[in-house]
Amino acid sequence: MTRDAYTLEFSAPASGTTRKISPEVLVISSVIYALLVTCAESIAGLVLCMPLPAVLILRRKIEHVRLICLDLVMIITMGLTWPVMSEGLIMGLITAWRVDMIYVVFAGLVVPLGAGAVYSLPLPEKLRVLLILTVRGIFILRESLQTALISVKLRAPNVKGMMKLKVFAYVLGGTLLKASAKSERMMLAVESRGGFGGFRQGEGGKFGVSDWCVLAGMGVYLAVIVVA
Amino acid sequence: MHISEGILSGGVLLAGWAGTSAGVAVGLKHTDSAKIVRTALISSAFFLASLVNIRIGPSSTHLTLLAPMGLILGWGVFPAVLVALTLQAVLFHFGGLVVLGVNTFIMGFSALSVYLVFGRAVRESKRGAVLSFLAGSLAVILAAGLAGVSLAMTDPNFLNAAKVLIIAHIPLAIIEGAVTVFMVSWLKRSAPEFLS
Repeated sequence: MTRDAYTLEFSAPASGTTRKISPEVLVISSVIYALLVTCAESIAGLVLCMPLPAVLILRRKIEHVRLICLDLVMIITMGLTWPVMSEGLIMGLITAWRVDMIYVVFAGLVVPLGAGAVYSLPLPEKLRVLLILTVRGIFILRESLQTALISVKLRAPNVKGMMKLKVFAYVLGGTLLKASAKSERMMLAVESRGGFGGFRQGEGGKFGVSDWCVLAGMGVYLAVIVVA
Repeated sequence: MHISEGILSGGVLLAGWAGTSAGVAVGLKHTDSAKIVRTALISSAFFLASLVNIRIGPSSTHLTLLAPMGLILGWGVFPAVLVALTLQAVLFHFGGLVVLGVNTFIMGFSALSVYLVFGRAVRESKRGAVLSFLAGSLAVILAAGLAGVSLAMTDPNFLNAAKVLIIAHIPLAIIEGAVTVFMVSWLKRSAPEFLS
């Protein structure tokens, strides 16, 4: 796992070329790249999609163990479930190739940006506020849930089976109720900041020259792949 | 249950985004400023539940909490699922942003169906436990079924894989049903306004 619930809002230190590009441009470019790979049906098209992930693999540290495990599971499952096994294995390989290329681009460009990457996307205001509040809610719930689960572990270390599920459900319900009180205070804070208009955090900035260059480059890339 | 990027065809992706857009638009209309914090909280719980692994023999799975989400939020479940899945895609690269429409529709539609079919009965019926179990289990099976349909619509050769997907989710459906029973019964006693 590239992140955990502790580092949701932390972004990796900006480095090299990507620091000059806006987060929203990186997200949009990654989405365009995923569309490119989805559209590329021939082997030539897929080969043309390779330069970007190849550069990212060379420049960034990409977690690969989970990726290889998922690839193997996918290839074997498709081989076993496809009407003809050899065709299924080939399809599995091509699908894994596609999934890996997209994974590398997202892991290299979007994941290091943290949750802030999506705040500035052109979303309806209510949805943007919901995103920001959800990230806050994750911190509140994580803290309460962790404390409750540790206390359960200390009091009843041997609880198993159906009782364990019952305890988990009660802990989750109780945590939701407690967090709900905190959330109401959050709502008061939202209202005292002038309603949703107070959420200036998520407003997108203006695109610079480098941003437009990246988007134009992705557009040309898309055209080349479609022609190929 | 997340379908990865690069697997589904363009038509299925577009259909998923169309369904999700409609669901989110209706959901946001039903979510006023008083409800938005609760929606965010349930969305956070859905996000965190996916990080809690439950062991099933040699393998493990994670909870989805689809039925509790549907029963608590009603129509507001679509924006909640969209936000949680967006964060999962951006932070962990579970699923992805292009396939987000399909994944949101699969989970949002399952949770909403459970709310529409079982919502009132779970609140009012004396057989609440049985209905909660059915709601929890059916939400997972329906989501797995919709994921299977998406795969089969991309390529009919995926049909066997879709069947395997549904069968693989049966243990999770049973666990999810049990968690829903306990959670709903607890909420009915302690905070019935959560289910209203």
